Formats: sequence, structure tokens, C-alpha cells
Amino acid sequence: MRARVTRVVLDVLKPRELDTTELGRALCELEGVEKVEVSVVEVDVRTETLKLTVEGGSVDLGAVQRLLEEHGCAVRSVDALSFEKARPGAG
Amino acid sequence: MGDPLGLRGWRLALRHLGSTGFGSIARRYFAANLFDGVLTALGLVLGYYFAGGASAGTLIATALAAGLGLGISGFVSSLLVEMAERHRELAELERVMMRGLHGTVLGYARKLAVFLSALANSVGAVVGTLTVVAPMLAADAVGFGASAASAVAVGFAELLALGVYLARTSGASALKYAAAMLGAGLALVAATLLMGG
Repeated sequence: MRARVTRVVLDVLKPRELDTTELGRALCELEGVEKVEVSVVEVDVRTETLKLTVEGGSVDLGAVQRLLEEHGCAVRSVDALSFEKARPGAG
Repeated sequence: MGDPLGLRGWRLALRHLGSTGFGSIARRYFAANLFDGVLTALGLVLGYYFAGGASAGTLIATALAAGLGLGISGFVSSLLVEMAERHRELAELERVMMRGLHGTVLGYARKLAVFLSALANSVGAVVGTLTVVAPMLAADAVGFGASAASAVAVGFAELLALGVYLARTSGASALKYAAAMLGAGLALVAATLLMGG
């Protein structure tokens, strides 16, 4: 049985025009995501560097990256990943 | 390119509309073209009245055409100006982000902001024109002169309200802005009278 991704930490470059709250909300609406934490690491004239922490029972890293790219962000690196072994009978 | 996210892109873009600065641009456009519409309609009413016209239907039809002309002109001009400006800004942002942004939610939000700003510009002109000539609809009941006077009064009331609104949004003196707006209206009256009123 494959282990599930339960936590992802990403280094993301975001255009300042993009609403951070709405971006967080959109991430939270992804299947398997239960919690999103956004920390603004650096603010530039047109961009912001964010540390994004996405947590959930089964986080689809590809879907998270896709959503960020679709919004106009650039995922610079995946800084941390947490896995959990799927227990038999657990969703 | 094109429309890669489809309807979902527009739906997501709506959420980010506020952060594109659309609100303040649309407000500015609406106010500027409302002013244009009111002054144009005031000029029409005064010019027509002083030229001896007495047909409310002709005046309303003329004002409607003028309002639509202003509206279309406002829509197209601001659409082109905003598109050019936003295209330049997006290209700059793409350089900083080191990636293309067309077809992203941000791209959709910017397109939506351009379209809605142009619409606000257009609506401002039409609303400004039509509200001034609206009292002419009562010409049959109250007489052409009285309804023309009401139209002028509505025009001046709108100019006053616009002055107060602009002062409020900028935090400046309401008296100064209202005086400037009314001054423009009075200048129009004076010019119309000088031209043969």
C-alpha cells in the first residue's frame, strides 16, 4: 500500500496582484487538503515570495503545483514533504 | 494560449478581481464619463431650448444618440488604452516571474478588469446623459419649458453630487470639488447663451 503525502512545504513566487487569501482558499478546496498555511517571506515591487504549507489526509502534490501554476505562481522548490503509511481500512 | 482554463478560469478570476486595482480604475472611469454625459446632455438641452426647439421627443432621441455615442466611444477607448497598458504591465511581470502568464487566473483577472473598467466608462456616459434628459418625458404633462428647466436642475444636481463624491473619495474639500463641477456647468450655460441663446 502506498504511503500518503500529508504535508507539503513549497517555496512559491507569486505576483502581488494575485490575492493571497483567495489563493489559500483555492488550495484548501483541493481534494485531500485540510489545512493551508501561508507565510510571506519576502515582498518585492511586483512579487511576493511565499512559504506554503499544505496539509491533509492525502495531499496530491501534482494538483497543488498545477493549481499554483494555473494561478500564475512559480513553484521554486518543494522544501519539505511528510508521508504517512496508509493504514488498512483507513480512507 | 486562448482560453485554456475556460469557465473555471473566469470564475477563479472573479475572486482576484479586487486585487487587480479594478475598483479604483472603474470608479475613476465611471465618474469621468458620468461628468461627460451630464455636460453633453446639459449642452443639448440648453442649446435646443435656446435655439427655439420645442419637441421633447426630438430632444430625447438626440440625447439618446449622443449618450450611446459617448458610451461606445468610452468603451472602445478605455478598452484599447487599458489593454495596451495592462499588456505592457503583464510583459514586465512575466519578465520578473520568468514565466508566461497568459492563460493563468491572473491573466483572466486582468482581462476581466479591463472589460469591466471599459463597461464602467461606457455606463457612466449613458447614465449621465439619460438621467439629465429623463425629465423631458414629462414634457406633455408639465410643458416643454418646465421639463427643460427640470432637466437642467437634474444636471446641476448630478454635477454637485459628483463633486461631493469625488471630494469624499479623495478626502479633499467638498466645497472645492462641488464648486469646480458647478463652475463647469455654469461655463456651459454661459457659452450656450453667448452662442445665441
